[in-house]
Amino acid sequence: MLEIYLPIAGTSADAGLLMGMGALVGLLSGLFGVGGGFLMTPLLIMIGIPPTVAAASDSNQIVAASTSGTYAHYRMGNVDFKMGVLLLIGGLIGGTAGVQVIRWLRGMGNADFVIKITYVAMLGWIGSYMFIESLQSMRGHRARAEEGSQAKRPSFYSRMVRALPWQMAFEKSGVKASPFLPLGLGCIVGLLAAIMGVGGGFIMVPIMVYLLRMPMHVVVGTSLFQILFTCINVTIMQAISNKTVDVVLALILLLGSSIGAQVGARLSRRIKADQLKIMLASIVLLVMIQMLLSLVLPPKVLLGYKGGH
Amino acid sequence: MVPRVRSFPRAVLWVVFLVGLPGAGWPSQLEVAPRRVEIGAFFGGKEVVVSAEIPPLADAVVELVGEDVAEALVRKGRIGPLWMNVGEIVAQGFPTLYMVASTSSFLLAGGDGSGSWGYGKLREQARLGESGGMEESDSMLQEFIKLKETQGLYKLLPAGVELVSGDETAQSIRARFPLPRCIRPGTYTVSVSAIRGGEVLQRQQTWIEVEMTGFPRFLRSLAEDYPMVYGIMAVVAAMLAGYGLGWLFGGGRGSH
Repeated sequence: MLEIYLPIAGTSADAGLLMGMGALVGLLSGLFGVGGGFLMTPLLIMIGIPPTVAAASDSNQIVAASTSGTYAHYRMGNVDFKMGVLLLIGGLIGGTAGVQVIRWLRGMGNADFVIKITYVAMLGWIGSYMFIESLQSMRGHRARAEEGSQAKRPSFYSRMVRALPWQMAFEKSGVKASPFLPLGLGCIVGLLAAIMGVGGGFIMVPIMVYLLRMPMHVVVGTSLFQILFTCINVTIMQAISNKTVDVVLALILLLGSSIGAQVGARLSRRIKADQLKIMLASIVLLVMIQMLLSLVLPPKVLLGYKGGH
Repeated sequence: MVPRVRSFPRAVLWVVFLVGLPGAGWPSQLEVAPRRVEIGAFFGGKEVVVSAEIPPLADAVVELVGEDVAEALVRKGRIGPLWMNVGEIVAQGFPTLYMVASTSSFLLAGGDGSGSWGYGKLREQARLGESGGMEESDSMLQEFIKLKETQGLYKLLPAGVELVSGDETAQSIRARFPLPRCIRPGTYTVSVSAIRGGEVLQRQQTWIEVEMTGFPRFLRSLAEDYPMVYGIMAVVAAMLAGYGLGWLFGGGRGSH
């Protein structure tokens, strides 16, 4: 057991435990293309890291994990840069708007409630949808459903997407869409990510799969590419505004997460897309249940430090 | 009741005052090891040992107390089926650290009725919130103490004073305090009170310093004084580490 002092967190932690946590989250990052902020931040808080430091330092370690993951996926030809840049621009616009929404909610004193409810609603909706869809697909229902849907008229969403101007081809993803679609979707994800204080990968991945109709392996690489830039922005802003980025904590986590991300990226090539989706859906639902329980069950201590969740 | 000393100049005055107290002729010896605690790169908490001589047949209360601070806290409450932050309160006059050991659990539990020792002392000197009834304040105080105890910052050690040796003129005692890993840098007061029949016969006091040193101190200063440089450095370090490990893993294969 090697205790390492974390100067910004103002406490110490076991380096082995931090590396193990990093490896677990990095594995998810490489497997599913999610940053893992929705999982890492609660884990860090559980071991006694102040919530504000946990969230900010996690963004810093996601920079490393997503650099490692993006590089691994780039080498395998799994990054759609054109789509990624459009999603990123949308994400930055949405994120800026989200920061203003949070400021407004804090002024009204309802920020915590909105953040947690948004978490539970988003995680519950995305997790359930992915789980059911993947389960049906694995059981062979997808083929029948697609046959049925092809016979019917295109859905309202499909018609709306096709009606958007400046349709362009995204060769890597094998889809044709207007640039306004990834821009708009990126904007929604950025808004939600800013409100929830995470990179937004677990919202972005289902949006790429179900709304942009991108193939799963390109989704993972492109999502990591977009998360990388989002988290660079968040890390620098947190360091300047709140001084809550603990680089020692981030470096230990990233040692574990970079290795985990590499293992995850390799595993993702061996696991079928539907299996990947159902695994991610299960994790998302588990986090949602944990968060719901934290809202419903009485807390152990009825006081907390201001600035925490 | 002897008031608690909170700052160095006041402490000096107290030493001068105590020398003039009746009973100042009792055996007096107070040692603390270590006197200076360094928070370095591998700090994971530290044990502080307090040794003292006190009058015979007296009970001892040994305290390790941090500086008083005001802290902003959030109160959790239930709205419908959900628990959430429902208000803010301010804790004033509470020390950053409060550890107390005694030869008598009776004293720390407030059994002597004085409220001079243990958490009863905090109830006397500190305040939570701005208003509210006594009942609410008491429950909030309990929650506050619970919060600090979970971090290892507040601790009652009812049988934490060990009698090392004793005769008819003096008894030697020793207490051990586990400084938690989250202790803040600052000055901490160590005091030993000898009590007999509810009366304080003798009170000895000294200080220990907790300081951040080396690499943690450098990073803390950089983060506070040059936040943009620190932020960019954090990003560059993360990207280099991520890229380096990525290259290490996939470098030899040249796969695309």
